[in-house]
Amino acid sequence: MKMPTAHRIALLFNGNKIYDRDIIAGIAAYLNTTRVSWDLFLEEDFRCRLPGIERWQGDGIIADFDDPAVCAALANSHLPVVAVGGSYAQDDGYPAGIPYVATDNFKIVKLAYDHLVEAGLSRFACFSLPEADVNRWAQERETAFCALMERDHMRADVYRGVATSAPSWDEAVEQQIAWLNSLEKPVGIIAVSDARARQLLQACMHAGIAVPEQVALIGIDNDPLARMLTRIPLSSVIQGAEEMGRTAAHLLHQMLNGARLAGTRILVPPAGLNVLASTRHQPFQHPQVMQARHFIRQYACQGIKTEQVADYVGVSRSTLEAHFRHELGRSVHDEILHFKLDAAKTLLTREPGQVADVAVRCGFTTVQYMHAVFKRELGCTPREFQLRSRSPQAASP
Amino acid sequence: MTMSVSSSSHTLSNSRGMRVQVNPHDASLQAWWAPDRYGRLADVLEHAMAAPAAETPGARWQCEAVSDAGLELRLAQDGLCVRLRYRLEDNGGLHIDCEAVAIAPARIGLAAPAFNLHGGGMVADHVLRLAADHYLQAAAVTEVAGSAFDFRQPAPLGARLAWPGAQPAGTVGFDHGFCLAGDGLLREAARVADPASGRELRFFTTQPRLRLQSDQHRFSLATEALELPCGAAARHTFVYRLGVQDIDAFDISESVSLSLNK
Repeated sequence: MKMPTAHRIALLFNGNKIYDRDIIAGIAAYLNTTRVSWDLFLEEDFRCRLPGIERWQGDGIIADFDDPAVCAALANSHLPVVAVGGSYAQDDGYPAGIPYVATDNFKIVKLAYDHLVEAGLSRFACFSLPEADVNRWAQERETAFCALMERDHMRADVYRGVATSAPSWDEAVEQQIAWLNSLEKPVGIIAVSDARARQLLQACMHAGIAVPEQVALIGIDNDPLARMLTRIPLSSVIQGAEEMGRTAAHLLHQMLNGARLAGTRILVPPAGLNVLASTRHQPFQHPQVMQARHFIRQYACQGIKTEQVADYVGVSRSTLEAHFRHELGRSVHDEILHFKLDAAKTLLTREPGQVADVAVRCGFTTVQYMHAVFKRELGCTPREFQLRSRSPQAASP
Repeated sequence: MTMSVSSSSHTLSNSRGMRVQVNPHDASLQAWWAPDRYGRLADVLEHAMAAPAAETPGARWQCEAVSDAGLELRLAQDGLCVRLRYRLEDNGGLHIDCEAVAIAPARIGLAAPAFNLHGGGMVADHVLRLAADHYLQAAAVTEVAGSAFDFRQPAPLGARLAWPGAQPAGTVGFDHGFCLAGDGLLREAARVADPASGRELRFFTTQPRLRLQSDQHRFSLATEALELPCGAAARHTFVYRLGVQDIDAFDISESVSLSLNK
């Protein structure tokens, strides 16, 4: 029996970001669940190298059209090509005659904006990137933000900042701080990517601006690395990148079977919203409670005590306690414990690690103490919590 | 304590403030108030996609409230006895237990509730996950693999309908049967999430098949009508459970093999 010949397919992506990697994972998932067999061509470091692509003897290409060099190189390709990239408000942003699978930039920004509105914010700003051919997606997200502001009769405050390089880091942060200081607070800020959001979060820390009380911040990509690099967990919009990969693979599969899909354009909406501390805004909070919670959020896991929080805020312990009781109905100690417990729950859910290790990392003085807190607050031991949360998709209704 | 119900609707409630309204005359669901990720309540039910099944025309249900969270409906007509029990749990699950005995051949079809998890607007961006390896196309069982109907990984309804050939001309949504993995035990068959509100619906059933229907503003997940031969008894349980999306559990990077029915 003759085996069917596998099609030779090139994937032109820069797989150094979570978004591109998820698209590639979606393509792989499509191949794994079908009997389609493709020989995939990718560089060993998953980076896209174009020279010579026009002479490549293959059967089809799926490529990242956010990169203008890719658009140019594939404009006259004789092979079936499926383009993947950001959506455009204007039709002329799309390449002519090539099927296109897009992440819906307008819906991404709208999801972030609606979330900030729900969180109680009434002033908004956008942290973008300097205009450049390689980040037209950032300009599209900016445009979406401005359109939403115009729709709701608000002033669109967009800051692009400077492109960062090592010598200009300090200057970039200073300019970000100046911009942050110029904004009327509280303000909800949408950053065009998690990487950008992380930079702004750092600027907020430097300038002593409380997040989320004064600045509520949301990024795009749900990048675990950006989350790991910030002390305050960053809220983020999750793009439908895997679904984009599956869709692109399906389109190319159809084209290899002879379908003509030149005008096909499929916009994939965001897959979800990861709401974390950076947008858990509570309007109308007492300024000292706000400052104290900002401090607790950053240092709870380092074993701080009520005294240190009061020192940071610059009031007596009893005054701070009174404000906490009045505003939140709990003590400063309870608030610290609450953050430590949340951190411990997150670690136990995500990592298979030792309970003792988690206790240390979350600032519990002893394992026994963490055990007691879990029993009291959650009715189970840390180990039971870990097992329960790691068991596959508990299906009991 | 039991009490008879005569008003035009009966409300079930749970300890978390969720409320479900049942029409005691035709046993249909009228409203379901459920919180979004911000704790705000909205009615997530729309008018049913199809008119209530005509198998029991003019049927009069006897209705009895069992508790704040429970309701029992009985129907005895033309040689068919049906007992339908609704129970709203604190975890947001609405258990529906249907027991039937037929003296003559009978068919029981309950109108499936139609949802809009955002509480209004479009459902195109609702994300669906289905534990189905096969779907029904013109009565033939077809693999979902490689088609727009492969929801073993979560996918948005609207974007899937945009796949070439997914939506026959003149239609505005899904109207497809799916064959579920699993074997008669109550198991999770489907999950739908609305990224905007964070609401998530999980559907559990004991039946082998499911029908997905949708248009621009609503969708429904329903099991097929129960066919009862003469003298037969049947029991069918299904659960709609409304909660808030857990981002980690709905992880889009989860492995391909789906084991929702573990």
